[in-house]
Amino acid sequence: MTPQRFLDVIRRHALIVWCVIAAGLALMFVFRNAIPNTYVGIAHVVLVAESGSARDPSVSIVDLPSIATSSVVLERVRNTLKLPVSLINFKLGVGAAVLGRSSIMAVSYHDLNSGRAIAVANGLADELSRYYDEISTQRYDVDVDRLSNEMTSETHKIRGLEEQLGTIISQNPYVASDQSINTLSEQLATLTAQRVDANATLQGDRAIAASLAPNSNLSKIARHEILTNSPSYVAVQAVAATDNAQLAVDRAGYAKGFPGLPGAVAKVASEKAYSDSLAAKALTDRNAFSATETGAIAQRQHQDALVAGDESHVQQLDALIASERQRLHDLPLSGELFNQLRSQRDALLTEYTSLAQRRANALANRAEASSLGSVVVLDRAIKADTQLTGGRTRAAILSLILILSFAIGSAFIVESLDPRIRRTEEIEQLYGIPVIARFGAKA
Amino acid sequence: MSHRNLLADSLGREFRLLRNRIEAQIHAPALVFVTSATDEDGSGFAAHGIASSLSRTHQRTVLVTTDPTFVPPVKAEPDGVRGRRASDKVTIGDRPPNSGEFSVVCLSPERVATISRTRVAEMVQELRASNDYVVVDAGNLAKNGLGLLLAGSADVAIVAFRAGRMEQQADRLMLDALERAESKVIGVVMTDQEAIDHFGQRDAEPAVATAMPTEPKRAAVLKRIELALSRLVRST
Repeated sequence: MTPQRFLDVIRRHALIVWCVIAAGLALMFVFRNAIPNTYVGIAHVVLVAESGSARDPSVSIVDLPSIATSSVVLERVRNTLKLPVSLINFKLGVGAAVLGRSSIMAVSYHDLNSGRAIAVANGLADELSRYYDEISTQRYDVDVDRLSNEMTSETHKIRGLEEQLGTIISQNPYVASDQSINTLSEQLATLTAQRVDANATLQGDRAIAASLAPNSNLSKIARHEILTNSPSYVAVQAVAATDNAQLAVDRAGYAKGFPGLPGAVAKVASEKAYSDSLAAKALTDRNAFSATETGAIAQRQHQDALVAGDESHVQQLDALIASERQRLHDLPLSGELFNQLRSQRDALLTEYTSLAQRRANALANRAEASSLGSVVVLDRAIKADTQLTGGRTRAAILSLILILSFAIGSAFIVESLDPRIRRTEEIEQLYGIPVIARFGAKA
Repeated sequence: MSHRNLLADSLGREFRLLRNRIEAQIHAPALVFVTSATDEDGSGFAAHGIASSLSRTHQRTVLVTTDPTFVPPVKAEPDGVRGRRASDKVTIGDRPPNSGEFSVVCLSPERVATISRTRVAEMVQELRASNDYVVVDAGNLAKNGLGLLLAGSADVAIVAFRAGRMEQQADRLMLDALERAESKVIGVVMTDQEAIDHFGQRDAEPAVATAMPTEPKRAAVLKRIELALSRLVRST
């Protein structure tokens, strides 16, 4: 297909071509409103202090478009704005281009919604600024992160050693002292002396308690006090004493054969029996009270308590003495372990201090790098910046291309269906002889 | 340059190339036979162009047309050229081989229908003797009996085909006729309607200067040829 042949076909079927174009344009006009408008929001960012010595030299203005359209930035903006589009479709709407040789870059976003186009353009500019700071100070961030992690690890180690040391100290408080043996010995001697004193006190209290133990004398006193406090017993006892005295008089004054003696004897015996019964009743009465007996019991109980306390004190001192002796016995082993752990802890503390110093330096460097320059949002997308673009215009261009293609294609389809002979090859095929001359434009 | 001038230049260039091709295959005196399958294929246009181109090389050339539809490409048609009887004897004297001048002999098919093969051979021989090139425009070969007779005497045959028409049965018939006449067909010349139309208006185009002889002497020669052909017809 030569250009001449192409033009010949088009010229021959110009009417068809124009008809198809006219029909296509008419359809375009009819369906012109079926295509939605597309809006574009444009924000401008500027790279400040691009050549700063502290800034990462691998990041420059020429990299900004790639950074702005990177998946990281787009994904962050998409999540932040909760855009209902996939990342691929989102990326298709994003544009970023450096304006000439300047350090200014335009960030644009096409969308059917004007507000979303503006919001996304501004979001992209803001996120680009943040992300640029991240990557431009990334080497310091890496150092800081590594140092922080290392310091955290050191802290855990130190904490573990502290716990072990604490356990050892709790088991043997004297292990932390340089003169732990002397201290332990002094403590043991003090405890021993205290035990001797406590034991003496115990023995004294035990003796007092033994002296306060219940005896018959004290019971007789209590019996007397009870019976004395019983009026009926006292009265009967008085009558019985009188009668007994009369009996003694009678016996002294009368012979054994005196007839009144048996009666008197029986009376005395009866009164005695009655007196004994009253005594027994008074002694067994629940309400019988003896102040002396009660005071003795209270004193005895108090003494018993003292004895029990003394015994407990002595036992406690014994336990302490045994514990101190055990500590004194374990002191060599615990001290060695304690010293090892303390040495490790001291080493870790030194290393931790060094790491902290390095981290502080890295943080200072990062702060310096951040302060030397960054991507700044120069011009935010606003309502007035919203432009009508793409959409109908693009569709119109595409439609025109399609219409032209279809028109030209129609011409060639009609040409292929046309049985008339126009080409040299067809004539040669028809006659079997070559074409030696062509006269005229269509020949 | 106007479109017509461009077309005229293009046609002149193509005819010169065609002339060179013909001269490369045959040597004077020779008979060039131009025919076609239909009346609209432009055999007259091709024959006239070939004759004109040959005459431009100062060779004596005569165009014999049997196409009744042939229209002489001159504004002032020479007297006696068209519509007159062909003479039975052709006597053509020496002519100055002026550039672009050639004679035209028009034979009406109705009048020459009864010419015998012998007479045709004599006529061809006489034309050969008095010209360097005899260009015969046979037109539609299927409808032209004289053309069929002349085809056998041709040194080379050229078929004209107008681009843009459909294949017809006449194409096969023409090829069969040429094959029977054992003509040496050297090729096809493609024409188109625009070129043919331009040929009809060529009087206004000096670029393709195939003007008919208009000088008195040339007119006299032409008359003698016609007279001879007329005698030939009458005698038969």
